[in-house]
Amino acid sequence: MFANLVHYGRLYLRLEAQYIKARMNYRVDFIVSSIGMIFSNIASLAVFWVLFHTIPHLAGWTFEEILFIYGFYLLAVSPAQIFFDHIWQLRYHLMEGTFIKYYFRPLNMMFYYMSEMVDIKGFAQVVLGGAVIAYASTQLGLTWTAGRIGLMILTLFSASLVVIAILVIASCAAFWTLQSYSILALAFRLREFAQYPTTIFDGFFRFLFTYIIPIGFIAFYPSQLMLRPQEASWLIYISPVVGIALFALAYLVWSVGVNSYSGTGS
Amino acid sequence: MRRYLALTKCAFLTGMVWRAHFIFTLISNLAYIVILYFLWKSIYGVSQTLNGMTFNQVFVYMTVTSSIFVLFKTWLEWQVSRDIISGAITTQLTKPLDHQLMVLSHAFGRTLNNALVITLPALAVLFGIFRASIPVGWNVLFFCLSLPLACLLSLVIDYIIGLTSFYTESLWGISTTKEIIVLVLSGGLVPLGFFPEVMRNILSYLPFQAIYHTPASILTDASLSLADYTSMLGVQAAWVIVLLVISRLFFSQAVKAVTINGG
Amino acid sequence: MAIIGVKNLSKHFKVLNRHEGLLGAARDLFSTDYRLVKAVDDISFQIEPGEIVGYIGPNGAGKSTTIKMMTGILKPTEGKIEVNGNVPFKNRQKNAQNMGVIFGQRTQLWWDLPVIESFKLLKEIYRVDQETYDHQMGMFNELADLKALYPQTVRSLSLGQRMLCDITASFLHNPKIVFLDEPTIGLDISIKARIRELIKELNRTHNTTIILTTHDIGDVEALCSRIIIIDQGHILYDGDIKRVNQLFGAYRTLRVQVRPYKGEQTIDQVRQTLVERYGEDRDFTVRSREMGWINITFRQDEMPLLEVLNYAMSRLPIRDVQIVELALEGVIRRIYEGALQ
Repeated sequence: MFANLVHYGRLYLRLEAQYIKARMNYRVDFIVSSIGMIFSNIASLAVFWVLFHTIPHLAGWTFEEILFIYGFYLLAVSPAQIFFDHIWQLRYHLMEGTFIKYYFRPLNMMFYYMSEMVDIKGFAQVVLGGAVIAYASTQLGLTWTAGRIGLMILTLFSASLVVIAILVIASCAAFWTLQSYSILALAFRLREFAQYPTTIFDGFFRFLFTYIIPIGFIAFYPSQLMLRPQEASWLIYISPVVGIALFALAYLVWSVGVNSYSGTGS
Repeated sequence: MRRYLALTKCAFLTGMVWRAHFIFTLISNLAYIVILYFLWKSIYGVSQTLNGMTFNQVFVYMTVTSSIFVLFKTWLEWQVSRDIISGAITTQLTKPLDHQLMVLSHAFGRTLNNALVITLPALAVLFGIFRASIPVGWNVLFFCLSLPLACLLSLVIDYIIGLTSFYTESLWGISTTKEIIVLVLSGGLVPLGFFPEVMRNILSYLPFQAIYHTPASILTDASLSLADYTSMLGVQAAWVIVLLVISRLFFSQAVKAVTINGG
Repeated sequence: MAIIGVKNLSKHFKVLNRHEGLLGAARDLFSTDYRLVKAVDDISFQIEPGEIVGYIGPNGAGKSTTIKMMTGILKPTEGKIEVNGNVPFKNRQKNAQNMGVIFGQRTQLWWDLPVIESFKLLKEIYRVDQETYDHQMGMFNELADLKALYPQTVRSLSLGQRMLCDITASFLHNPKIVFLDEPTIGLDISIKARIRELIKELNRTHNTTIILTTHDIGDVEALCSRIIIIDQGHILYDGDIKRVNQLFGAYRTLRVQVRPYKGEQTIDQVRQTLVERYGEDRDFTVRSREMGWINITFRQDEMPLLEVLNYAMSRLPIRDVQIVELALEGVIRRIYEGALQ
């Protein structure tokens, strides 16, 4: 078991290193797309900035608190962006039959498939997210005790699992319809709901984003725990469970898809 | 018989694909309207007006701009880029067809399709479910005139972005950057009325606001004079002409560079 | 002990009966009107270690479906299948460790990487130790001399070069079984010969079992001692290639373009030339079906192909030559007609 983990770890680093090496032939592209990525994140920040010129708080949350939630959101969506970016290509691989090669190796298929691509520009997003969190927590006078750091890591971990799971499940639609772009795009857009306090939504949608598509767990509930622990509901304490359970569900959907897809041709 | 079955299957599958695409695009856009509604509801809180706009006005404005954003998304820059990379663009130079005109008219067709699939359902939800209302007067007529101009402007900008493929392979980054800049600076994410005075002044000298802000503000404001409406359309038309000229110059310049280098 | 054992294996697919027209398409949305397609229907065979078996059949015969079951991609509907002691579908990963695969024309290598990096990654994936790796790479160099290709990216290789690399790569971890699907499709004659030679050598040095699916009878003739012919999910023939040779190896057709071409006169000239060499009583025909091209059909056991070709080239003003590939469909038709009984 342990030897296996080491093997997979080493292999992952190897595959990614080779991928990055190959991508470096397109260095300009990397820089330009990183700029694009940062720009689109800064645009969201600019929106908050413009809004808070007019209003003192949003659903009871100050500018700095909203920034913190946004920074947390950026960090939480980054692992999916960086390590699971190959989901966007899944439908092409399935349509053109190139997906079949992933069956032939003595490796876990999800591991092998996802390891073939790493989105380097996602690291730019991590840096930005970190900077936003640092700024916001300084402004808020938040002290980073060991407990809080531990809490941050734990909640971030489960939040990223939620994001990954939602996107993987959406992309798996391709196994059956061969056309998952619009579904994936929808999931990608739903993800954006996470940057606002879930409390801005009323009854039905709050229920939906807490229990059905748990987008609230991506940034808002964890941030609430960090910023206003007294207001945080008990829900946040089960967030690691939510993350792991959702990821397990995504893995299940993936496995069923992999088994039901038989490749093109006879 | 077999051939016809294959054709049927093809048509059916295309239909299915299209149907799934339609449904999910629709849900995706409706979901966005839901965010807009709740976000702006909580921004307004108990206030009646912010920066001179009522909640109803902002909500209509934002729905219009976000629908226009999807409406104008024709992936035109990717088509131009494909034509350039495959070399099709240079062979088309020998034909008695204008490349720009061809691409633009194709994209315009897509927009009409988008309108049917995306904009009409969005409007139905806007007025049917959320009970938004717009003032009815000259503004509706001018909105209808302003929309095609905005579309043309957006397509020409996309065309210019597509032409960068003559020089670089990084279309994704460039196109994303353009998209976000246009969104912010034309009121696609926050109404321009919420921007600080200085920024608004600067923006009025840029072409971007003519894409989203102009049609959206025409539709939500019935209090302007005919002269005001006309001059807004005039500004749009002027930008269309200026950018068309720029794109033609850029195109001939790029083609020259490529043919000299034998690319 | 057989390395592959297949017993009463079947794979059935449910396919929706589609209706024509717009209304039909709408009906299909809710239809439960399925039809059962038996892609593979009750087949059995055993393959011994070190064999090279040609697994052939027309498109849609069930070849790929069988291969997919043997590699663990598809779960059989019925029957038993054991590869190297494993049930492939249950132990896909374990099975894959002892398996090499070339499937279709799609490379298993990394498109944007230099060839050598792909080999290094495969070494890592299959946990090949350094010693075995060095040994294998040394052997590949002896057999195929690929060193010059190592620094090139896979995308920059020609189809033939890529196939050579792909084949050696599939042998890198010293698998017990290698599945080769159409390894020579779309390649020219000289590279085909090189690839066949390589496969033969790899089989000989490591006693690797090879399952070869192909449309090219030339591949089968050059490599296999045994063939399995499958059609419409059933096994039509399983056995020695020599008996089948009587069917498709017996006659060969050589197409030549003679200049200047003067119709009947030229055809007679060709016939006369061959009669001079082989005599009147040999079983061959010369005729023209297409302006400028003359087809010479003869029995291979009486008149070896290369000999006929060389002789004709030396005596006639030949501009161009084609060797007509035997169509598998024709062979299968003849089997149905009872040619093997």
